Amino acid sequence: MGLNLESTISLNSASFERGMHRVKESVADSIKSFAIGAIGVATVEEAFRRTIETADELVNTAKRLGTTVEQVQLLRQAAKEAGTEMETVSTALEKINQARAKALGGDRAASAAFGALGVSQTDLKTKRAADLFMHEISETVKKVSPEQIAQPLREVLGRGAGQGIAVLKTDFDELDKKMQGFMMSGEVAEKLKQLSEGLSFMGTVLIVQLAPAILWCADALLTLMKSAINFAQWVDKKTGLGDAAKISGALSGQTDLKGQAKILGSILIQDIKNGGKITEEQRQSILKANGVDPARLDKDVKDSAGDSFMVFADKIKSTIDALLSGKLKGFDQEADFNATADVAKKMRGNGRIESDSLVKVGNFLGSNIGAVHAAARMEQYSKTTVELLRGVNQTLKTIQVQLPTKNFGGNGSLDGRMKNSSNYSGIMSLMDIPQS
Amino acid sequence: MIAAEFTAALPEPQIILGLRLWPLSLGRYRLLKRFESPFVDESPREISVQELTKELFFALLICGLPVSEFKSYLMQPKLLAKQAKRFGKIAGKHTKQKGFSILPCFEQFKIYCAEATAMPWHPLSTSRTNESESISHWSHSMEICLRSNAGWTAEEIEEEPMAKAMTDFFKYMESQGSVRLISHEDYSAMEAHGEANAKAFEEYLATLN
Repeated sequence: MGLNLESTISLNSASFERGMHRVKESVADSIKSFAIGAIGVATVEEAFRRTIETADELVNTAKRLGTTVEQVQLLRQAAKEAGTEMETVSTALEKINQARAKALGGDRAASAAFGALGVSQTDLKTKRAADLFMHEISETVKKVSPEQIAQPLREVLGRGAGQGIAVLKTDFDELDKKMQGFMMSGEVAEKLKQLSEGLSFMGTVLIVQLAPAILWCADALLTLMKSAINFAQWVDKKTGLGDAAKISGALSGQTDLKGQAKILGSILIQDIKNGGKITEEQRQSILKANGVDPARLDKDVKDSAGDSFMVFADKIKSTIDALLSGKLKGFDQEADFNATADVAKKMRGNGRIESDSLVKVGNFLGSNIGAVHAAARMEQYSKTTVELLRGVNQTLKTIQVQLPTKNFGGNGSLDGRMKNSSNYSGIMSLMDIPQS
Repeated sequence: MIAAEFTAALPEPQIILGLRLWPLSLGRYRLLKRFESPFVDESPREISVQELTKELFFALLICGLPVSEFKSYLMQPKLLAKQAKRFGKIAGKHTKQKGFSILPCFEQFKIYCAEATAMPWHPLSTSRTNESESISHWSHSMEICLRSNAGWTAEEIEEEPMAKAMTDFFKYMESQGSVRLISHEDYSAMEAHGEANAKAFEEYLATLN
């Protein structure tokens, strides 16, 4: 019996761990070896040996027919499904090559035959026989009745044309899709062939991630990371408020959405606080426009960098609210205001608030804040505030992709109910923005 | 109950190298994991074809037997050998066929794993807190949840299809407000919507600069 539990385990932590590792390997490996031995080493080896033989034969056939390993497998399967032998197809391909040589050599009958089968002179010069067989000729055979093209087919495919018709009627695109994953790639076949020739000791196959139960997590993670890195790049390129490399680095391994928002916020705040890539004037403008107290900002950054971003976001919101209600006076950025308003007006188009572009942008903001409400605000935001909001909204977008919009305070559509909506409670609580 | 949920409860049977496989269950998944099968490896791994062939045969042996039976055979090597020999004989007939390649069998086993764990819908996390993740493997957390909250027995954990386990697990999580289950179509639409919105917003912002 193959179980081996004789590894020594001591209480010294390092050697204990090593010992545990050995025990684990030993038990698992010996059971596996025992089972493989019982299945039959010869059977397992036979499976491998046959695979190499098949690869060898595929590579050789592909070379002989002047085609790819994948095409050989497709043609073989098509022949099988059509109830004929691969030999029929091989012969047909060889005949195509012979007829092609004739046609290119000036033989009018051969040229006309190819023409009748939908093959142009350029195709003859540039495509492989298998390509002509599986595409141009196959398409013609599917469209035209065999009687009409019997003569050209005989001219190109030889006497076996009749048997070839059944294969030519195959939907090769569909077959290709069906066989994806089940075909041996040319690269793998070549490696295995080398193995058989003793040129290589190991053929390696890269196994893709196979734990499907957590695939959706991986999928979500990828989406998040992608949007976060995109965001980092945007920050770097457009606003100069952050450093893409720094943000990307800080986000690496960060899978939690709120955590992402905090990291991003923290970096942005640090950059604003320290000047970062922005000018002192811009920095002051941002702080002023959003009513942020630098002392408070310092404290926030020091106490809890992540949360301070949420406080900062809240300040932006308060500023906007103040702007809308006219409570905030002396907002001295008329040029920015007008530029933003112009764009918003253009987006509206003929005064119709439902214009496509506005709806799109409104949707973006609206999913989180309230579409029409947000769009209306655009006219009143300063450019700086819009830029900052954009950062917030990029983060929201990430969350929006991940979470149902109803969690953002019910503002998920552009219907009339939303027009006066200013309910941020959902998203604010999600992002830990203190609600006054 | 949507059609996919029925499929989750009773997946299509799979036959690889002549061996009819039992549905991939939590129990079977954990056995594969215990024996470090590359087919349940969560990260890509480079492995030689020879080694992978051995791994496939062993994985098929695990999935071709009831979990409790396989476990009991670990203590009764003669019985394990008997089952393995039986499988070896069947597989041998297949490997002798002309044009045989083991590579499609790898793919078929991948599909077996993927189909057995295909979710009928897309779960979306609604967690608002920043809880740290458990250090326990998700399969263990799932078992504890199913056994303590959904009335699953140890036998069901070992034998019921993984997709059924996931369906019940996420249904329970939904009832607790931890996730929201949406159809794959809705999820795709949501993603597309988000992308389109982002693009539109990007375009808009570009006009500001």
